[in-house]
Amino acid sequence: MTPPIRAVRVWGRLADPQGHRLTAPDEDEFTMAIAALEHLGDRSAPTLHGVGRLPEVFRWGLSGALGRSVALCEHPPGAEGWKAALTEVAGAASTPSIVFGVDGPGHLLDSPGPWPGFGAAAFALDLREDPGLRERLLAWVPNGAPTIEAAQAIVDALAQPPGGRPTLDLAGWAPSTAGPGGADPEPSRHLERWAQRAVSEGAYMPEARYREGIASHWRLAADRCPRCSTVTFPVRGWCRGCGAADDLVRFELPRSGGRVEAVTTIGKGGQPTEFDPLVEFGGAYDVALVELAPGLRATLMMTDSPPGTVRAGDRIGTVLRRLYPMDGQWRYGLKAVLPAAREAPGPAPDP
Amino acid sequence: MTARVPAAIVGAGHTRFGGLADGPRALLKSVVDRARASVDRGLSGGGIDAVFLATLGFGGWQIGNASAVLAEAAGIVGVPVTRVENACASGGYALRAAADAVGSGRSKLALVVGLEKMTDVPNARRRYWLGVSGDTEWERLSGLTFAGVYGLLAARYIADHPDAREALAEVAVKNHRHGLANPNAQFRKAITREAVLAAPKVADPLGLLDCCPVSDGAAAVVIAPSDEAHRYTDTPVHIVGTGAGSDHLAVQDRPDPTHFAATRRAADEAFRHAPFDRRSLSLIEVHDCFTIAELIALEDLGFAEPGGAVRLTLDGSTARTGRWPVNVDGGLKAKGHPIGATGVSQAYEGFVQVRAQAGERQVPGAERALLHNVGGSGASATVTLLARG
Repeated sequence: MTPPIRAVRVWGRLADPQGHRLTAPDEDEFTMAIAALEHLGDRSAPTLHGVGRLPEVFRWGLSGALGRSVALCEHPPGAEGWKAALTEVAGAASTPSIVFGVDGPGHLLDSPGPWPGFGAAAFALDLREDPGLRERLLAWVPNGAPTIEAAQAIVDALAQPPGGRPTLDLAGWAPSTAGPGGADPEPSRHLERWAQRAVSEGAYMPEARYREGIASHWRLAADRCPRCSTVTFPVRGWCRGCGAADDLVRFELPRSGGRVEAVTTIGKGGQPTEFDPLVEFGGAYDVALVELAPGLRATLMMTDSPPGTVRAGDRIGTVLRRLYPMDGQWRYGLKAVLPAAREAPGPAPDP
Repeated sequence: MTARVPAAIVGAGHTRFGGLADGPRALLKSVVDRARASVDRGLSGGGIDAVFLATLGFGGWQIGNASAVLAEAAGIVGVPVTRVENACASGGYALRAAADAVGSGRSKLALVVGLEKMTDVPNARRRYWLGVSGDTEWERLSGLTFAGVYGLLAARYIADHPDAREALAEVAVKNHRHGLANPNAQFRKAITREAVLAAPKVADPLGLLDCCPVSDGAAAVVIAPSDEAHRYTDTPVHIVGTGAGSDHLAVQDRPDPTHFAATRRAADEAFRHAPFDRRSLSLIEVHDCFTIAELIALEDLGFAEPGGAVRLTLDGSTARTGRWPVNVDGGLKAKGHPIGATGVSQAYEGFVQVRAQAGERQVPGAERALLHNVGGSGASATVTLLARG
């Protein structure tokens, strides 16, 4: 039986006047790497190969934050980095790999367009599924293209082996409008641009509190109390039913299938100040009160669907995206997506 | 079982609400002077010995020790001043604290002052401050201000009760009509349902005219022991019940996200020992920061079953001439909502109505009033019952 050809997932959804696709405002190399990781399912201990200058979040102890064991390899930007990453992947036959890349974060700051975006892409590879991939990886010749084009070239080269099984998954990519080598030496410029757009301070969330909340914000972690059976979400470190703090059993609520109980569309002026740039570049957005499991709710921003298209009763999935910048870094958390929005058009699966 | 909290309002003052030239110090002085002057026999019989100051300190003009500013501005130096901050319910909580202080015998004459100065900060900073009292981690940082949170509640309410959108608009229309008769109101302008429905959306389904304005203003009341109230006036207004409650800060953490358990608890407590029940109330002041909040309040306070506030609103029961006049002063919607002042302003309205001094907006024969004050999206609430002596 031939395994179905996976759809190529295209997550960039904004186009500038020239028709170039840009990475969406709430996506970057981190969210794409995580998407690729989730695409792999539960297969054990993948290695993340990052090409380019990576944000701090990758160095926070990802295994703990993600609740699974991952290793990180960093590679230099550009063609040299891609080649190094693919060579290492080719040598790692026993574990799956995520390869992701990013243009200089300030790459497109000075170019016209709806969003001060940059190119980011990620894909997942598992040589155990297709031993033939190894040769093709080693044969790939770096072409010096910027990230998106480079990733696309790799994927094209790997996905069309003569007579081979197409096993390559492109978890996220978006063509960049920038030329190769778009030199932006300052990774902080993109954040500064956002900060300049946000004309006032926002609510302050200290990094310690943010990191404390990651288990529930990223993975919907919940605690079940062995004494009274109450499920506490988001996790607090104690049971919200009886106050017990010992022996709570950590588990994760389902990441998809949540039901929208209510949704509001936030128009211009209705947003907190820290979301001013989001509204300026992307317009109105939806926020939903979602029942994740009976009696357990989360307030989630919607993404990947035009504002006003979500209805009470809709079932949603969740994706990790950028939420807001603070203290010089992006903060991440789950947003909700309509299931249809996750599936870009692609080759139909085999019946 | 005591039938009443043995405390009575013997004087009350109110500034105009709206965009005012006065700064916070001038507002404080002005409202305290008015409250003092309103005491029929003056305050010579006893000085104020405790003050409860309700303010969020909007804009950060005096984040700590605002009490000293009151002392300086209003000449109240030396007596203990307690600042009370429970977001938009600060005033209601200050009122309750003062009633308790007097009721316990610790205070013989307490002053409650509510104050907010909101219009003198730049727009972006103001929007920051408007969101500081909600849940930061899950609500604000998912993109919601209070308008957004109430927008979610309104969306849910409308989904459950199809006529609700019209009722929401009618809340705004009615409260603006009431505001026409209140010289202190920020908006003295009638609006139509069509205008409410056509207004730009802030947090769909809520539009601009579903939201209360940003306001400056202050209100104050003077509270004495009931058995000494006649030293100050022949017509004291007794505080015959107080109740308060709290709830999870974030709506998502509440078992029923569309109703306010804090309001229900506060109402139960206030009525537990009250000498009358809901049916005999002459007027009701509810916390209508957004139009949806008035409908939710009427249900949580026990005037209607879930969804029943739609009919009460559309059939005129909540108009000044209806069975249960609601927000005859214009409510937060038209009178304005200077955060810390709102709960005290409600007490001012109850005081002048029960004493038949409300002029054009007087509810004929008003004897009993209910005041309902909410903090944020329901994380705190108070209910106060007032009655003629």
